[in-house]
Amino acid sequence: MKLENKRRAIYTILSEVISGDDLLAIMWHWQNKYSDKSQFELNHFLSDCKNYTEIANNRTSLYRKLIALFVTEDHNLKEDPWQLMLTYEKDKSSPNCLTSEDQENWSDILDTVINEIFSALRTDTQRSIGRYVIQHLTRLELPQSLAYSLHVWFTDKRAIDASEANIIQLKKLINLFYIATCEFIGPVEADKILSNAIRAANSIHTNSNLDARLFL
Amino acid sequence: MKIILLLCFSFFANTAFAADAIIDLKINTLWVAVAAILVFFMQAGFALLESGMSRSKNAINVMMKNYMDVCLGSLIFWLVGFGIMFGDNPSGFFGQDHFAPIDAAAWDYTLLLFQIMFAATAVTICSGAMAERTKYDAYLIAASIIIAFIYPVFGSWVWGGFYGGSGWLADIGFIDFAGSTVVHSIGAWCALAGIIILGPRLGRFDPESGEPRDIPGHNLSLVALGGFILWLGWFGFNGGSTLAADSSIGLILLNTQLAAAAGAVGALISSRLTGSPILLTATINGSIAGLVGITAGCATMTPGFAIVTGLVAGAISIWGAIWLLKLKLDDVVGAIPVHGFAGIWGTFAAGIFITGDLFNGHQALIQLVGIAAAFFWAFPTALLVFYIIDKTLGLRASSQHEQQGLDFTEHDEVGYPEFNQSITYHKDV
Repeated sequence: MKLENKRRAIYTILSEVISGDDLLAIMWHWQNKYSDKSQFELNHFLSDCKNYTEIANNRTSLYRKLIALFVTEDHNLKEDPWQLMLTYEKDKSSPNCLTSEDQENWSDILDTVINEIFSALRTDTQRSIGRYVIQHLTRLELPQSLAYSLHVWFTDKRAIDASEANIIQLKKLINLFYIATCEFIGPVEADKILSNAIRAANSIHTNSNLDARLFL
Repeated sequence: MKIILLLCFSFFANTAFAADAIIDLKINTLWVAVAAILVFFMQAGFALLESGMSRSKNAINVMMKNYMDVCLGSLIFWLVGFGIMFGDNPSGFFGQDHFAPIDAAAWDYTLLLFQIMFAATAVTICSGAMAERTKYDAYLIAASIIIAFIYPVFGSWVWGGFYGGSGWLADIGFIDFAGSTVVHSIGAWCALAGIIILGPRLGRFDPESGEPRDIPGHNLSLVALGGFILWLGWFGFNGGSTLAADSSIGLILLNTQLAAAAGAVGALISSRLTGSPILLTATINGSIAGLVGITAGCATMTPGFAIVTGLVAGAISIWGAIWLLKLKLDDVVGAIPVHGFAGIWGTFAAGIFITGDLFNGHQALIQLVGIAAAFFWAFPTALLVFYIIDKTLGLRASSQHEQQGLDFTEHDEVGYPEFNQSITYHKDV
């Protein structure tokens, strides 16, 4: 089943019992943690949502319906909620989320590193790497704001928001970009590009007290 | 009077014979000890060759694995390997005594020293093939098991029975003078198992076309120097396997020299035939393949056949490497074609090029039995060992470690501080 259809199926069933921002928050949780996992992991997903009474009270029936929908691939699904999810995430993330100057700087440095990596790639390779990163992003368990801003960055290159991410998560993210670069242009070029990107970021952000090498 | 004269003659003859035997023992000991030193020096050759063929961010890690192969190899082979391989072997399948020898005859110590070097050589073949993506601790555990169990058990089938009994392959007439199969193929089959469990390095193969991508080594001068050192050490490897300073050494060393040279030529011709550039690494691997090939039959064939053996072995190293890439197996240094495939050929050649008994079909069949026995013993056993390690400790380094380089992540050292890594990596991480 395609990712989009999976998302529509989850949305269709959950919207029977829950709506609004709670539903979209739950959808992001599924997107980030379960979208690449087997349908049999849905039980864990519903278990994660036990704080929502609507889900907890209907867990068994929701699970049964979800499995049935995944197996039969019913075409009678609601529209893909992706745009709603993006809007929700965009409204949710605001400058107030930045809790320190450091976190703001991390966002800038991360943005520079990723931009530098991409500037060294051909357009078609950029697209391939973008797709690869998006496909594998869920396993990193990144904060929703960062995952969202990466999705947006790949389409219109708006600034990346890493304010809610810690350094471990950022290292994993850079490593994912490295893996993708290795896969599509080979490890020798990937090493060079990453090394140059880190150096460029440090030379651009000379006034920052942070070091881009900490991403590695 | 005649009786007295006879007694006197007998006494002096026995005394002279005993004196000759003591002198022989001294000379043989000296020769085998020198050969052991030469074989030890091969470890330096392997370290340089493997390190030079790896990227600079993994240079120290490769060196460390080679270094510890010798250290662990020495201790573990003394402790258990020697007993399993050379101890009393009534079953023909493994030795049962002479473990951790501390009170043995002078000659036993000489033999043990020489064989320790062989064991270290067998296991170090794995490190090159598995370079750049293997966890250090996991590798050392696997290497210990290979030295303690996989290598000596097969060794006992061919060379066992120094202290009673004999190996079952030796009993049927299998010829492997210095270890094309016993040392090199066993190491290569373990390496093959290792790289299957590990998988290729990140980005080694294009995900869409499956085409292999070159990942050049960081220092080809080290590779060349390593090749020369290995060649030098091989004179000890093959020459010392006589275990006696006798007149056969000349032929053995000449065959070794000619096969190595022919191996390089074989690789060169094959590179031309495949339309590949004449790579330094391929040429050096060709000469090492020639050396591996001649190891089994260096004492039993004439120089002409040694050249044929080396030439074919060199060609095999090129075609074998291409075949492995088609199977999407990532062998960093080409250890499997060089030590495994050329080892097969060399062992077979030892059976068909015997001076005075050329192209003996029965002997060829025996050689094939030995070759198959080596593969079906070492490969599945090593596969199981690596699989268990992978599922418990984890065999493969994480992608983050592979990105940073194992020098930094495993050893917290940087091989080339003035180059990229000091600029790229933050020491406080």
